[in-house]
Amino acid sequence: MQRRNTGPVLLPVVVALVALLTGACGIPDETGVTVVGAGPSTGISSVGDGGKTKVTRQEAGNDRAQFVENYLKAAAGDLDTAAERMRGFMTKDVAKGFKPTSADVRVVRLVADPLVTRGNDVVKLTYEQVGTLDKFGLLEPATEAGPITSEVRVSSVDGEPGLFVTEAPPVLLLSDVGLESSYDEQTIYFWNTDYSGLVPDVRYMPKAVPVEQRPTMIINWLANGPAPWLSVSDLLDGFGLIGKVPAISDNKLQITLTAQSLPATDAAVAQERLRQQLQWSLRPLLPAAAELDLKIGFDVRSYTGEDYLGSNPAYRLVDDPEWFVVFDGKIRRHTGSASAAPVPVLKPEENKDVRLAAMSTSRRYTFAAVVTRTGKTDALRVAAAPTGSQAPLQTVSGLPSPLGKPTWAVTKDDSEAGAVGLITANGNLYSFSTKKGTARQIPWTGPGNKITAVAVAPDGRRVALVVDNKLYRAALNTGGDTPALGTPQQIRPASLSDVTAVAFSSESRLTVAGPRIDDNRVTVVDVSIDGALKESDRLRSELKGKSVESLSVYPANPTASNGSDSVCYSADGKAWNVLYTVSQIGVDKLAGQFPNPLPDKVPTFSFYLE
Amino acid sequence: MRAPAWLPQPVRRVLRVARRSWRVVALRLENYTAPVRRSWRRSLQVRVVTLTLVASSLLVGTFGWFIAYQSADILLNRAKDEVSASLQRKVRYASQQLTVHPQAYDPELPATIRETVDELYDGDQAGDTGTVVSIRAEQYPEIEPQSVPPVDTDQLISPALIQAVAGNGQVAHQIRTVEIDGRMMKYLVYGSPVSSKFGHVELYYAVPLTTEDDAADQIRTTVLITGLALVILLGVVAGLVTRLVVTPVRAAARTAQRLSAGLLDQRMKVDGEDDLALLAAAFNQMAANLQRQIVRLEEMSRLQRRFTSDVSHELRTPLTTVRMAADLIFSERDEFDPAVARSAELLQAELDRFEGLLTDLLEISRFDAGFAALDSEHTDLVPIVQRVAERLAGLAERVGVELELDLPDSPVIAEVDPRRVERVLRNLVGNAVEHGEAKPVVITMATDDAAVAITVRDHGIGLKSGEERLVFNRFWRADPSRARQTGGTGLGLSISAEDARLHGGWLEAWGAPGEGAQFRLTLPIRAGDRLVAAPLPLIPRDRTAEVT
Repeated sequence: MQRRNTGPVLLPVVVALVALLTGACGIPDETGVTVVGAGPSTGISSVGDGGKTKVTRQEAGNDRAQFVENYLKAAAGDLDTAAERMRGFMTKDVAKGFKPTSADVRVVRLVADPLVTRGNDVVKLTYEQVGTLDKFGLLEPATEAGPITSEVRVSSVDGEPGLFVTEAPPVLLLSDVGLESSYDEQTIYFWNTDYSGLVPDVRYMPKAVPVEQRPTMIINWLANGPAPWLSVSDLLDGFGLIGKVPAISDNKLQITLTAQSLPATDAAVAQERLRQQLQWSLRPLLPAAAELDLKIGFDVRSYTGEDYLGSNPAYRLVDDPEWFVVFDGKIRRHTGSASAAPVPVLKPEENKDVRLAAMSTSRRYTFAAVVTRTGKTDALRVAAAPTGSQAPLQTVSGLPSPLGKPTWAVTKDDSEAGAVGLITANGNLYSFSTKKGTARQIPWTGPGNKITAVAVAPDGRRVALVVDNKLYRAALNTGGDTPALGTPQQIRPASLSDVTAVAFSSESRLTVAGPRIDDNRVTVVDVSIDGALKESDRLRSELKGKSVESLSVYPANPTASNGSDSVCYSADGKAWNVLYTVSQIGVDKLAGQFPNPLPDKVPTFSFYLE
Repeated sequence: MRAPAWLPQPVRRVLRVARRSWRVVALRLENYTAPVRRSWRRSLQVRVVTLTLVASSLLVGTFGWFIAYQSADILLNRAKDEVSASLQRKVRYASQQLTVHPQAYDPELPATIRETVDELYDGDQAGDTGTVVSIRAEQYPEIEPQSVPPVDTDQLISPALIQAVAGNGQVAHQIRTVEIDGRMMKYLVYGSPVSSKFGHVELYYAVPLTTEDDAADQIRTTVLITGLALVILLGVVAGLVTRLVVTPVRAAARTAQRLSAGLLDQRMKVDGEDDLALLAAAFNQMAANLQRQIVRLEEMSRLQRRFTSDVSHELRTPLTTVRMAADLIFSERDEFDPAVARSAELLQAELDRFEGLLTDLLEISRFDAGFAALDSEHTDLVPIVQRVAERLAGLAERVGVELELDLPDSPVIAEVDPRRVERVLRNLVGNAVEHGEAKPVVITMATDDAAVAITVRDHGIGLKSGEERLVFNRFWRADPSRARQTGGTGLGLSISAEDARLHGGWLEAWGAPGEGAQFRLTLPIRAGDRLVAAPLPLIPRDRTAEVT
């Protein structure tokens, strides 16, 4: 019988069964590395701004004054590491013992150059306090200014180049020079309490922060809430950023917010507001054509275009305003006015005896307030009319003479009563409506008692006041029955000993007039809203006349690159225009028909239709 | 099989040892498996069932393996797709998050990485799924690896994966089984570089394969159990089906065996109309035909033998009468003419022949009828041989043949019928003398414990090839033309063969042309014993010597 060899048949069977049993066909326990494909390409590193603003200990060499000035710039930048940077100026032992009492940076302005005495290690500093800068970029004006004298001991160490701080006050000090050189002003916005417009809130962004991180920082500022002095709507408590805001790519800025960033009800309206707020706050970082992608929860919306711009009332400010002068008791257009139409609102027969005036427009209405003088008595008359038409003037009673320059705070766009007027009368602040009625006094809670000037920001929610020749800022709350001021904060513009007049030259800048500290000559200067910075290169020519009685400035649009070009003031019964030089506004600047013969008079007041 | 010569000696030695061991093992195996192999050889059912089991295990095993492999592959691929997609999202997110850091020395970078990892882990909607998200920065040693949950990822993320991802900047994955929080878990680890403005960091995303692994295990177990059940079922079915076929075949085999044993009336049972029934019917038909033929042939044979016997008997009576008359004539022949006297002599001789022929025929018919009986007694064979030689000495002398006897000195006692043995020897020696051609005839006898052998050798014309058997046929003659010259009846060797067979012995012939012939009679010492060997060779020794 033939023997069969079963080996070849059995072998695969056994192999298959063993494979099944031992699980060779399951998911393996270990595998080698399987390459799927190439990874994403690496981006290109952008050079940060950090390098150029940072000062180092050795930069000053052995110049003690310069060394101290540099030392006062060292805190600029990220607040968490500010103390570390200041320690870099100190010897190791001193650095170890340097424990700042506050985490915030104290911004100071040197009143005089650091005083270096030969043969003495101590450098004397005399400064006044400008405010404290917190980690949200908020500069809170100081309540007490000084001047304060402080001492910093500076000496050299054997074997080491340069100088070292060997003794210093335990404070994070930053000079205003350092603030200006190491920070960018960055305006963020909050909705006003009526949600009718955005209110700016000026912050300081360290230049060392890479541009990619700035959106994240700004949104965290927004989440932290507005500056305490503002009366605005805060964002929801749940508002917050998820992750960071990635750098702009493909012309898109993507922001991912928590789902709690929007209220449960009316979320669409709230989102619309939020995106406008964000767009305005991020505007300097957002190229015009860029798209903002807002992702809240699972909802992603993209926003492009410039339709958000209208949510900021200051955006309505034009480059070329309508400009008026008061000549012979009549309001007339200036030849530089944008329009040649008749004077708005006022009927020609009522255009007389005018001393001071203010006009504002909302979207549909124009409001006028004129201060007339008959004899020694001042009277305030107001009118409101749809833009392009006229209305009779109505008298506001209850105001003691003398009256200051009136001003309008537009609160509503589509209402004849959508504005609140403010005026100083005999050292007090009064408010009035757009119609006939009694002016109401607004109580003043700050120091001082004689209010001589008031200016309203383009957003209508902030005011600047001059009280006892000192400058204050406060929030204007128009929500209640009567307008009220928030807690006023004094701001101290550099180099001015007194302030006599104030106006907003943009949403974040003030133009103030007053005598200079050093030579007591009157000047008009732009300062930041907190008074820390001043516009040194745009210093107006010094006045040769008397003190400035009133200041009219047409604020610059926030999208404009430069400041306001429309600055006028009244002094010594004459009106002056400040452009590149100061020039008196003569009769040749009057537009329209002239009475014949021309009275031997000059324009006394000039103002803009705001 | 030998190892090739070109292999070095030690290798060949090892191979040799291995070969030997293998042989030993194979031998053992062969012994152990002998019963199995026997049943394999003998049982069709075992073969069919075994082959079915083997073939079905092969098929089911292959399919099962394929299904299990495929399903595991599908599960794994699905997991890979999901993880890959998730990884892409994560990488995109992490990459976006890192765009805020233009420089690697940014002090905020570790915080961003930590937040990103947290967010990526939270964004996974994971409760306790066991995923691990980790960001490492291999190129920036000052940046600590961040993992959520904070587990040791050194085992999870292998250096090879790090090399592929961090070193070569590739997206890669690997399956790792590591212990995390005291539990052994199988992870699918994906790694991808995350581009940033300062270079790249690496994101690793590890997802446990517990679900997939369990599913694959279940599928495998199911396939295994199903496969085994299927194989067993197939085996049972094959066994049953084979049994259905084998049982009737076995019955047929048994019936055929009985039939061949002579039970001619055995028949198969015919059930139904299928192929097996057809086989049974055909078998029965064949058996019936065979039976009929056999009965008919037996009948014919019986008739023939009886006819021979009857004829022999019937002829004997007239022959006796004729013999008496012939004897009378023969005794009076001297008184006749020489020619008549010659005829009387011829008549006498032919009557002798006729009588011998009848005697032989009667003897043959006695054998055929089975009446031949052995009258055994203990007999010394030597005298018998001597007596036969003496009796034939005259004849030998006449034809010039010398009879040589080579007999043992001692008596050779065997239990035989002396009359029959003598007849056989007389026949053999007579034949040898007749065909001896005047050359010597040698009669040799030898014995051992069991048998006695007597050979008769002549050196006559011998036998042609094939005639060794024919010589025992009835009436056979090597040369028919010589039939009348020699006086044999043609039945002598047939009767001798029958006599030998009756003793349980052998009668064999050898012959070669020109070399003469030798006949050997071998008989058992004890009656009824079975012969195994003969004490003398059939082929004569002298002939062997001549050849060599």
